[in-house]
Amino acid sequence: MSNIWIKKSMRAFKVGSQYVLYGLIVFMMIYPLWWLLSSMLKTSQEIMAIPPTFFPSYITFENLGVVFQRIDILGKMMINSFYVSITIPIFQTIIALFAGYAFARIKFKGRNLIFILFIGSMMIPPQLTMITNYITIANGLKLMNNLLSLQLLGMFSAFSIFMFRQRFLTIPQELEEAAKIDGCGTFGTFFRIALPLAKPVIYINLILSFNAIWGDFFVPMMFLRKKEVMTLPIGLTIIQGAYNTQSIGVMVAAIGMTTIPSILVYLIFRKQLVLGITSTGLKL
Amino acid sequence: MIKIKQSKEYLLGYLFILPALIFFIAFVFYPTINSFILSLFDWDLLSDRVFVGFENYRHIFEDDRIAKIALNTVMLATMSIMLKLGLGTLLAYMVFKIKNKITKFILEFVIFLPVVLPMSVISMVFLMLFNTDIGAINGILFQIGLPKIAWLTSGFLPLVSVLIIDVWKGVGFFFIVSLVAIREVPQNLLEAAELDGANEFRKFVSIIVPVIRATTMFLVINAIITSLQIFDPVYMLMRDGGPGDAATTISYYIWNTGLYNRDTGYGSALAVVLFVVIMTITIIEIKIRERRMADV
Repeated sequence: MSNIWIKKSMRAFKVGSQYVLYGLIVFMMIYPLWWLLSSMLKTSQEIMAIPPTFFPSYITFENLGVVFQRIDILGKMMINSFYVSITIPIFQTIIALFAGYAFARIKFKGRNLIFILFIGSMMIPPQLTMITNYITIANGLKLMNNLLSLQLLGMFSAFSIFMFRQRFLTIPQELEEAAKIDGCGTFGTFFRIALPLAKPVIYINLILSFNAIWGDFFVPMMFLRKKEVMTLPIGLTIIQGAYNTQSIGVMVAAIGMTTIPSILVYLIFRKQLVLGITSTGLKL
Repeated sequence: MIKIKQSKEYLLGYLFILPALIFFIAFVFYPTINSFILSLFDWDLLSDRVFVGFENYRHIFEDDRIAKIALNTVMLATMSIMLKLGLGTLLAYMVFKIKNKITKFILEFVIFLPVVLPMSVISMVFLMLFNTDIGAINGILFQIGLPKIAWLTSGFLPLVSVLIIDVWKGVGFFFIVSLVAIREVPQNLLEAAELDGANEFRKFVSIIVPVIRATTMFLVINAIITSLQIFDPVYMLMRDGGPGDAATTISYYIWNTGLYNRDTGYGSALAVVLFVVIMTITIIEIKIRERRMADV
């Protein structure tokens, strides 16, 4: 009798400690984000309070209000961010689709060499190319403080090209040959057969690329010096400099507003993202 | 007739890759070649450039900051890869074992969530959390009766802070890839091990880890490449003056020297060295894997 009781309580202890561990993991992974989102509704004093409060002791929209009052500048930054995070993925995807298809299905001289160069370029750190790109864009093309600088640098992605190539390679060749017999040229086959079959990868590429551009810091830091052309991540550092700890709440609210689109992307496209990442093993 | 068709196909191939090729040459290939050239000159982007040969490379050995910075970079990269790979695999196996669907979903959901958040912005959040006096992390430590820690200023702790940010943000990626790999492990293999009396630890070490290892080649190469380039959290940490070189990594140093302080020659020389190191490690990693695959 007592033996069973010991066994049962041992088991309960094991399950219990497992859940303590799960709880701890969930807490560690979610706390920084929870802190950010809940602090958006706290006063500056409460944000800095020791010990920290888990829930706002009373909800205030004061800091969000200040952010919206400054909407002229923050709003502009947000529009800039959306503008580049939407246009770059679209063009980058189109360019990568064509290139990926050529590498998978069209034979031409130098194809392998160019492909190897593209793939190898993933090893090049941005610090190696930044000085020359700065000279080209700022001095040569006179695109300082122009969002076109970000767009030009965002057009080529070796990874996207690789991903599309892999996708096109999996399309049964018989399908395309059948289309060719029906009188489709390479163009026709590409648009009617290959593109529709690549749709899932296109979506994944658009989502990942949006996310990468939305959070990009390095390139905007190089080329955007005027507030009205800045994207949000770089703009935040400027705002941060302009406020002291007393107005930490405003900073937190602005950071939160920048994070929310990424969270929304995750909530809406989680399945596609996970699928995309696991099917290709790519980086973010 | 056939020849015409073939040459047309040829042309189409070039046409299809042309846009990508133009951007590749302009913003990747040419800058890479040019940085080798820049590294042989002394130039501040304003006055005339002066040819100095390999002087910039020689200067690397005389730079008394470089040892510390290289050590930081290597420590950070090694720890980051080991922690992300190790924790990612362990977490994946743990979640794989969970039977309760809701618990499983919650853990999957929260572990992967940071992967999609912007690194620059997350770094700003963490720097507030790490603040010695008003940061919530010290607040929690205080609450459970532990002393305050000067995360951002004392000794090697700034580097640890950067490591924590990087692992927190990146572990979910390794987790999700490992999870998919584990799901593909034949169930009878695990069951057989169980019949042989293998405990969880044994199963993890002798079944899960080898399986993961076979699928992680791209992952590890990618991790090496990215972890040697950690920039955003270091930059955010340095913005307010920063704790000396306690957390300076090579990618930050190159940016700081080459672009911020406009010493383009020295910055380029450092970048070339970083590129060569990344390339060497990548090739070695590929070769080792190839040999291991050949053995199996």
